[in-house]
Amino acid sequence: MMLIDPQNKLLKIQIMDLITNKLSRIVISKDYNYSCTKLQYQADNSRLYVSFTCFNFKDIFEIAGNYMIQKYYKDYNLEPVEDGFNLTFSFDAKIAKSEPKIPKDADEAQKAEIQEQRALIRAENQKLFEKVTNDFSSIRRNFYAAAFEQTFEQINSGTQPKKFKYQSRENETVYVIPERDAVNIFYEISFSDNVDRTLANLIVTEIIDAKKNVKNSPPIARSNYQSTILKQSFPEVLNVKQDPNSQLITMTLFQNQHFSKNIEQLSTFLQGLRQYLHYHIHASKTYLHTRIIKRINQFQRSLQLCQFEPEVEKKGDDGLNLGLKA
Amino acid sequence: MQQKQIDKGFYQTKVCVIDNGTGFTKMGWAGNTEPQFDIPTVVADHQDKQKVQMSKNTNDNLDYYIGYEAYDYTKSHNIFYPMKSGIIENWDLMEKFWHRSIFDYLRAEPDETTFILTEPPMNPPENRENIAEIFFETFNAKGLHISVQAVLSLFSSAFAPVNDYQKTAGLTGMVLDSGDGVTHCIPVSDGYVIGSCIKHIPLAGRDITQFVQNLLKERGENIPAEDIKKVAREIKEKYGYCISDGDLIKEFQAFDKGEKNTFKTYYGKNSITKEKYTIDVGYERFLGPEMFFHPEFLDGKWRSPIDEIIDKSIQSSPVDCRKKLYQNIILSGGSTLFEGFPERLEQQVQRRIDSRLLKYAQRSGFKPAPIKVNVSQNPFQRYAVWQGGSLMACQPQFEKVYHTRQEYFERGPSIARYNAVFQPQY
Repeated sequence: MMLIDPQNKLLKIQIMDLITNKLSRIVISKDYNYSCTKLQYQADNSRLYVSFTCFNFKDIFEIAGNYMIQKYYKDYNLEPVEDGFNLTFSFDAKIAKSEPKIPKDADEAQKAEIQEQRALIRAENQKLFEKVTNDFSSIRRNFYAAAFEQTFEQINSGTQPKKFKYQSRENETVYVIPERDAVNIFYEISFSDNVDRTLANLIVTEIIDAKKNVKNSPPIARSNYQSTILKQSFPEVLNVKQDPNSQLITMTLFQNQHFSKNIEQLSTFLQGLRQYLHYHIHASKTYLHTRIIKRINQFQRSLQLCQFEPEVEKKGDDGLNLGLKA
Repeated sequence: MQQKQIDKGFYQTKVCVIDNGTGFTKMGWAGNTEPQFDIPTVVADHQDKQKVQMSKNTNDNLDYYIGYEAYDYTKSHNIFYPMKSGIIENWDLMEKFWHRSIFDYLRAEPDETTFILTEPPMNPPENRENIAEIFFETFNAKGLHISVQAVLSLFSSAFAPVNDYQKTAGLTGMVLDSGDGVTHCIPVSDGYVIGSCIKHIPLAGRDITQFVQNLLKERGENIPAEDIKKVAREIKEKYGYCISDGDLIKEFQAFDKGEKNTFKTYYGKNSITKEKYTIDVGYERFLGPEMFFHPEFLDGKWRSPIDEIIDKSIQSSPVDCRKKLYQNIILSGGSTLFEGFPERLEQQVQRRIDSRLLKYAQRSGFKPAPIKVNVSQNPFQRYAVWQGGSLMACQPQFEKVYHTRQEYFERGPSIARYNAVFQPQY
């Protein structure tokens, strides 16, 4: 399993459970980037409420929040924000068609007909619930990917999009500098652990080398705050206190090769680059740990099999026992 | 640009509770009442490790699946169960299981997340050190706390007392934990497990399912071979019950006479051909759960009923806590969910105590004060251990007791040998 699923499995299962079985339950789920989603189904008005918050929500929402709502959540109602959250949607489960009841005095033919209708309605409702589940389980992905998707769409339609930046984590910022037919993205990625940083460096080097084997691969390279493109667009980077644990990775995407079609899949990867790196770093550490333990066990077994020669006392010329080891 | 800091409010503190059991792993985010995932503790790992990697788009080390997904890959992968009787046997596979759980299921950044794990009683301290090594070195977890499952069950029941005794019991009680692999009777006094008094029977949910499966086969029920395990488990969970007075002959007669709607019908669908079928469900409804009171039905080596084991366990405990242990017997684990089980257990244990006190009264002429036995069910009994962990994470004292990454790198894995316990604050 090379990629991390953009949909949150937890939300997928819980949302389907809540609206199918009409359970009055509150579920809180956390996700990457300190994001938190709350689900609540209220049986009295048959509504599912989904509330979302994340780190630095307001700054990121200003970039493409309305675009996200228009593209992914226009079928849902925007509700007053719940305490502790920044965005609340609701879905009215009454939209789902109710199944007709079988009357007691119905004959076999009528029963069969009503059961067929019920099966059709159930299949329609299932499709509707799956759409709701897919929309809300991707809320974190949609929120972060909307900025990239908006930029790509504007370039594709001929409008010049604005540059933007957002702080995705405490010591990490993403800078996006669009041009007429290309987009330059600078990722500031920071890992606090030495081993994580070393593995991240190795993986980034591998990505840079591996592009020879991939058609139409975007140019990816390590960069620094002295980059001309970055300094011209965001002069304040020169005053930013550089974190020794972080590194800058840059990538350039071209309209013809990369984002003329299927911007959703590209944006999914762009918004989740840090998580993808982290996932592979930990997979590598798991593998290394397993190998180290196996090697240590082998050495211990070899050590147990070793036979050491016994100590022999040697007498010196004057007859004294020197007690030297053999 | 002014750097923003993380707001450490309730919705930003991240604690995951992972309850790894022999059969099932319950995991989720603390603060919820139920775990979000309840998946089998199974890993489907790639069969041929020596195979040369043909495709550059895959990585053999990531080619494994856990939980229910693992059963979809039985042909291309080997199925492994890394835990037996609650103890981790295969550490490599368990590390992979945790890796997938953290990144794919929970989607937790381990650097920012504190983990609460559970362990069975009498778990060797070296296992705790291994867990700490994996979580702090491989996953860089922010914090770790390992709790005994029985103590977490008591923690959970302390928040939802069902009688007056439980309101004052705190973390003192007898925990009957019966899951998929093994059944334990664990006396706990003020949050500390009285290790020398733990009793166990290596018979639990899996064995009852096997027993039901054998009865269905012997009767010649028309069930497809690939579905029989699943059907036996569903019949056990849906239709199983405990006899109220222990009179097996009376129950057999009630079935044969057709009294009180005893025989049931199970409607199944073949998983491969999708053909529907029905089977009758009969004596296995009560014979399966009767295993607790007649373990010789399943295995001739074990003859002591569960009430006798609980009684022996409490009688071997320190004398000052015995009364409290009798008054707070709590049930935990999926295999204690049978209808009528708490009442039957209470009745059997009470009979033992009453007969012992009567004999004492007859010999000594002195009438001792009666002891009331209480067996209580938690509304979230199946997930009582997980819920206890979730409640514990929300307590203000939790921040002071969990082990941090900094402590691990200063003092080493031995910090995980001791995990503090604290009384719940309401």
